[in-house]
Amino acid sequence: MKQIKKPLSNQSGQMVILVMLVLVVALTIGLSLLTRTTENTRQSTNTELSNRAYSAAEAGIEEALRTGLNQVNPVSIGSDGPTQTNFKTTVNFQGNDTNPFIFPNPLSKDETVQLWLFNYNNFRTSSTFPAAQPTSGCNASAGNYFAECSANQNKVTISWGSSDGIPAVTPALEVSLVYLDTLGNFQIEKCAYDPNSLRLNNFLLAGEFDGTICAQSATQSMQTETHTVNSKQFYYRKDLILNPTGKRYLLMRLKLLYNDNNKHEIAVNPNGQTLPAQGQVIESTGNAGDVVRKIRVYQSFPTLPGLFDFVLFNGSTDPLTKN
Amino acid sequence: MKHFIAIARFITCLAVCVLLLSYVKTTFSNTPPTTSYSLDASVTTGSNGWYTSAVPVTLSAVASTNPVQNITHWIDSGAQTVSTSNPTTRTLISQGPHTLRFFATDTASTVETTKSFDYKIDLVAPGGWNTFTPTQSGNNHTFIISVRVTDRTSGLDPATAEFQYSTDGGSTWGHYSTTTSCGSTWNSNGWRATTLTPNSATTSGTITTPAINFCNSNWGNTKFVRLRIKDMAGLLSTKQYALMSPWIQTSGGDIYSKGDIDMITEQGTTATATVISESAVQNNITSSRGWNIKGYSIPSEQYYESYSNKFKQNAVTLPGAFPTVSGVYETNDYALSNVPGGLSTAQNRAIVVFVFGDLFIDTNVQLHQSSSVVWIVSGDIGIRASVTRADGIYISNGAFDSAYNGNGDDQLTINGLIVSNNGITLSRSLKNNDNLSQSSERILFTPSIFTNTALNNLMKINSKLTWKEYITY
Repeated sequence: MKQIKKPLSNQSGQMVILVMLVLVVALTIGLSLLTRTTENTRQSTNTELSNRAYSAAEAGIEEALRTGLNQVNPVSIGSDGPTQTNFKTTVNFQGNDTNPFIFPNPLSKDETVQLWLFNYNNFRTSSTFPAAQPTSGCNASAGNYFAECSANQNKVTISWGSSDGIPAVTPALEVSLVYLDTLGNFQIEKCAYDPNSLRLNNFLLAGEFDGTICAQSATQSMQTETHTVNSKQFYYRKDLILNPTGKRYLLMRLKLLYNDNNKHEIAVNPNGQTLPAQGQVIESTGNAGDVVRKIRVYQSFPTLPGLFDFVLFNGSTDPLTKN
Repeated sequence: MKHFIAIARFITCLAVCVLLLSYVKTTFSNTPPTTSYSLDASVTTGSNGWYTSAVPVTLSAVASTNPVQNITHWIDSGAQTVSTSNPTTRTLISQGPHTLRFFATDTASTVETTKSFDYKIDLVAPGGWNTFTPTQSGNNHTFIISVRVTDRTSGLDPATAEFQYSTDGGSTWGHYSTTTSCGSTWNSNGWRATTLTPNSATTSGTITTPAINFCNSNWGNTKFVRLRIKDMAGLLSTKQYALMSPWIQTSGGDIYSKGDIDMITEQGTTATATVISESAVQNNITSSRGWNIKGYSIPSEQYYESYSNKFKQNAVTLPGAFPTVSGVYETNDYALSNVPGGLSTAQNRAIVVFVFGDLFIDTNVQLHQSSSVVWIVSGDIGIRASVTRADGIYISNGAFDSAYNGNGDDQLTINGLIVSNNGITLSRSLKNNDNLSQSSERILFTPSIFTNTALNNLMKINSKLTWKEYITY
């Protein structure tokens, strides 16, 4: 029996299809690899540009912290061929408005923050301190000071305590008010409040008043109740009435006691009056190619550390004696 | 017909029964629970209805028809606490007069009429002893003593003000039957009643003794007097003073000591702010505000090293003539023996001096109230005994001595502050009996340091920074 052979041309066509299929698969893989490589390269370039833009923004912040000046025009910090890297900065004073102010960093035990009650900004580069003496009446003229002749009883509300927490580490608050008297002398008066009545430190407790500026009446006593300031929750609150008659209040130092390493925030509400600026906000824009990154930094005005609230500090275990 | 009548009777009976049941339910099942309170046996009762300890109160509700669901309780106008425990305990700790109110609710939401418990708590004996004032009356060893004392919670009990004294340096105590006569009868260990004059605030007053003859004109023999008083809750406070012994005075700033605070006496106002110690011993140093804290630790550090790291980078060598220009300076062991004439009137100066070694202040230093000289010293600081004024901020890793070469018998005034990590020696005692009316060391806090722009600028390191990236393209 004679075998019938298929035509050779038919076999040749199948091979072409197979080769074509292999080529298509190879081309697909190759194109995919090429695309991925290109994408990786592009991402790598973008990442590098992003990093360079961030570094440029940081450089702008450092420069502004050093000089305190705006940089309206881009400041170049280098180029890589056609790619320019530069920054621009703006420096503005924070606040000087009627909004409640929350100190940006929570406080540990014995840490102190300072609230400026005059426009420190106007005097910070001056070698003199042109604080005018107050008169025995209302001091309406200056305008650089908080709550001059306000009809709102010059009330500031201090809120503290980010959590109710364990009573043993509930934060007590010491307030130091610095002012000028009618003779032009600097004076200080202190108030102290403790939400925990078991410590027996004679600080004012919730609901207590002593007839002084610390709490003239029950309505000015410390309150232990949950409330919010700028959407943040606080547990303890104290109204202080800063009567300017015969006094020109300059600043308020606020110190937390007892709270160990449990950090708590402090907020101050000027109750509709203008609170002077407490620091400056620096915004820096870094550019690298077409990548832009922005950093914002808040810098408080410089203040002395809490150690300077003591008139006598004996860090030794030797007794402090007089005999 | 019979059936109809029977059905009518049945319906009538049923209606009456329903009405009766309804009445019974209305009348009896809505009786609310009854709550009563009881005090823990640990509660201590003082005088005049005051409690002198924390007051644990147990509230117990007795069910009537329905079981008790919960007990609600609150103090004054405070937030209500709803407790499902029965009985439930609440510890009352707020000092002063208050009212605890409570009621129970049953499972049918029947609410008991609110009941109340009025209470008064005073946990603190009178304190804030200050303004100790001996006034000479007749011979040089007869004095009228007055001192101010406070009790913020229950107030002072005037009928309990008493005193006794010692004429032999503290060995024996009591009083003569006639306090001006050393020949009258000596009442050993006796206390004598005296007067309390209330001040404008009802919670404080001034105790004043009659003239007391201490029977010894030799001022080498220390004269002691003790005063005591109770508050209205019956808590007793006793205070001892020594006449003619040296004492210190501070104002405006807080005081801290890692070790004991042990003063032989306090005369006038010795401290005006918070007094804090890590130890439990605070003898004769009372804040005029009564703010005394014991057992409280504040860490210290090696200030010379830490402050050097922070802001000594641009320091220049301290010139031979002490500068009047603001700046940061550095030097080795240093003795300040001359100050330029203009230093006392120069305003708004901030002169920060780092001393590697010891510092000696051998001449008077007077500064304008708006200026500061800050000494940051790795070793000791000594003030020469003849110096009477040494304004400045003294911070040392070592010790501080107010009269390093001995025999300091003139009053020293420091407008500034003292920080020491190795002991503070306040060794002066005034001559000519001046201890009676003057402190031997006065350290007066200068609040202008906080507004000294030059000083703040030199210490810029204390600016707080907060970084945040806020927009990313």
